[in-house]
Amino acid sequence: MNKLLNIIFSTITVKDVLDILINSYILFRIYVLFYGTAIFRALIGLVLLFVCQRFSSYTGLVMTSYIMQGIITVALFVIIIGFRHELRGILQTKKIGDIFWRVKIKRIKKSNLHDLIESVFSLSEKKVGALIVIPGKNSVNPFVSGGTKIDSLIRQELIESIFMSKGPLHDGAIILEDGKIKKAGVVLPLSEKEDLPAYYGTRHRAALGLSEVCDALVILVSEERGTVSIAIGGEIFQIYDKKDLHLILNSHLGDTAKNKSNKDYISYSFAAIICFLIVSVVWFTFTRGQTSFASLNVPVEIMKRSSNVEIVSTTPNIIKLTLTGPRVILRSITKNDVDLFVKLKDQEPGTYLYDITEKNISLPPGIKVVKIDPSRIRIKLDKITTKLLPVQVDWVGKLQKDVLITDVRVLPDKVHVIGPKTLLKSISTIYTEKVIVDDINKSGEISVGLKLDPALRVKEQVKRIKVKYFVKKKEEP
Amino acid sequence: MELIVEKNSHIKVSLMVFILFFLYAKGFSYQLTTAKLCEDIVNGQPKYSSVVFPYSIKKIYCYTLFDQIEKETFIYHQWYFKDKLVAKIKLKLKPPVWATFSRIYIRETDIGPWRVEIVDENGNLIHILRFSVVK
Repeated sequence: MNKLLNIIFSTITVKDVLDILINSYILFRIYVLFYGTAIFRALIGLVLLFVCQRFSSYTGLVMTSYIMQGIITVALFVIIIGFRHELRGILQTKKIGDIFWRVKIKRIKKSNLHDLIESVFSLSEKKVGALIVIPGKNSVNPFVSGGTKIDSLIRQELIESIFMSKGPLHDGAIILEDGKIKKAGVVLPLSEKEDLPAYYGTRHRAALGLSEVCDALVILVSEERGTVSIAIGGEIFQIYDKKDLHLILNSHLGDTAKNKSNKDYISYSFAAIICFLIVSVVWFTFTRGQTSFASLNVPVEIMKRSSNVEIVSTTPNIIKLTLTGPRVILRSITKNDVDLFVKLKDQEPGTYLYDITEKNISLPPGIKVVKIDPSRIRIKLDKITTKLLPVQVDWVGKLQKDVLITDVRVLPDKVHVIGPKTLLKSISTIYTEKVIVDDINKSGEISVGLKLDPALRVKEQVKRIKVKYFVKKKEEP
Repeated sequence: MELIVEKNSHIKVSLMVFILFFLYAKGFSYQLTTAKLCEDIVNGQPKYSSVVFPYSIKKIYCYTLFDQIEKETFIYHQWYFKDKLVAKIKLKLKPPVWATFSRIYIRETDIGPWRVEIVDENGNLIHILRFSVVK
């Protein structure tokens, strides 16, 4: 188990951590923006469907997995279409930063609460009907209609005068936003619930209707009974005193009181941790859970301890490895990530056969070898010796017709060559690099390098060979 | 007295054997005075001596001249193309001075570095001539 954890965690890169953190934050933002709304509940359902799909895929329930995939796809479309107003409300936020980092979007200043509460209870005493909308995180604009723009500070006198007057504004609702009375005479959507108490009038249905479709809080003052109620989340609660209303409003707006603030802070921190854990689990399921196969051609590295012998040949010198492991790692793996080495035990000249096993292969963590092809290699070792060899110029090209290169002097004319004994045995001359004769029409001197087999090297510090050539024209006697 | 004569005769025999062995070990000496690669031999002399030959000339000659030849013997001209022996030609030497040559025919496939090793009858290397065949 520890080994498995080591394999999993040792393969995590900075890129992977960033991947998890970004997705965790996206999930956290979804939670912050949609929590308490109908979308959030729909998203929870979608997540459950996804978990079911992964589980059925993992357990091999092919048909269930396919059906789940289809349902998830359809559900996504349904959520987008069905909650388009809520989504638009979120995306239409005035400050784009609200979507990315603000935790709570306040719709009303707390300093105005006193005037609001006083006016509500004043209207209640006077049995004057009133509907006051305080939006939550989402905008209420998609769900309401009509109304007159007021854009005035929240004052007890003003609220009372709107609802107490016999003018056209008193019959609708007012919307409080950004510490102001934004609109008055607004028409709210009516609830279509059929199990409501008989004493609920149109005002109650309107308050309930709006609270059903968004996260707004609606304060309702009954004209008949003078009671104060609030509608939130599709339910109506009666409020008996100012203190209760104050608490509820504070809770709705986001209390700045220290204890409340700390509670929110802990709540959001907890949500952030949960988001991180969920994303981490999903990330590991995706990246580490799916295994795959890949083949890779890897060169053989020979490690020898003695300098007295040289490797003359390795046949073959490239081995085809079939690997298995997490698809993500396999996709990014190259032959540079895999080492195939053979430690030579034999130090005497000769031909040896070596079996390649998993011990000879160094792989990234989490990757295993399934097949080694071929699994046996032939290594030929030879003793290192030195041989004095003459240097000969390798002339190439097309000699001019009337030109004779009568003599050539090479300096040095012999070099000590170091290399495998059997190879040196078959060599009696060391040739220079090719010297082109096409342009030679008079005597001269050039400097050229030596053309050596890769297994050979020159003992002396000879880098260039001086070639002095003598030219004669054919017409000359 | 006889004993002394016998002793001296032993010394003389030993000396004779030593001289004969020395002469045998040394071999019958001769001197290589000229060794050339050429395009042709005209009137017993090399013509167009060179170390780079176009394959279009079709033939290459190796001319060697020896003097101080004490006894009839023979040598070899060994032609190598890229370290591979392609021709070994046996040539007679007669006292006191002797010129001899060997030749090979070349084609386009023979382009590359060549050498001719001149060796004695025992395979001892006397001289090497190096040349190239080009286009």
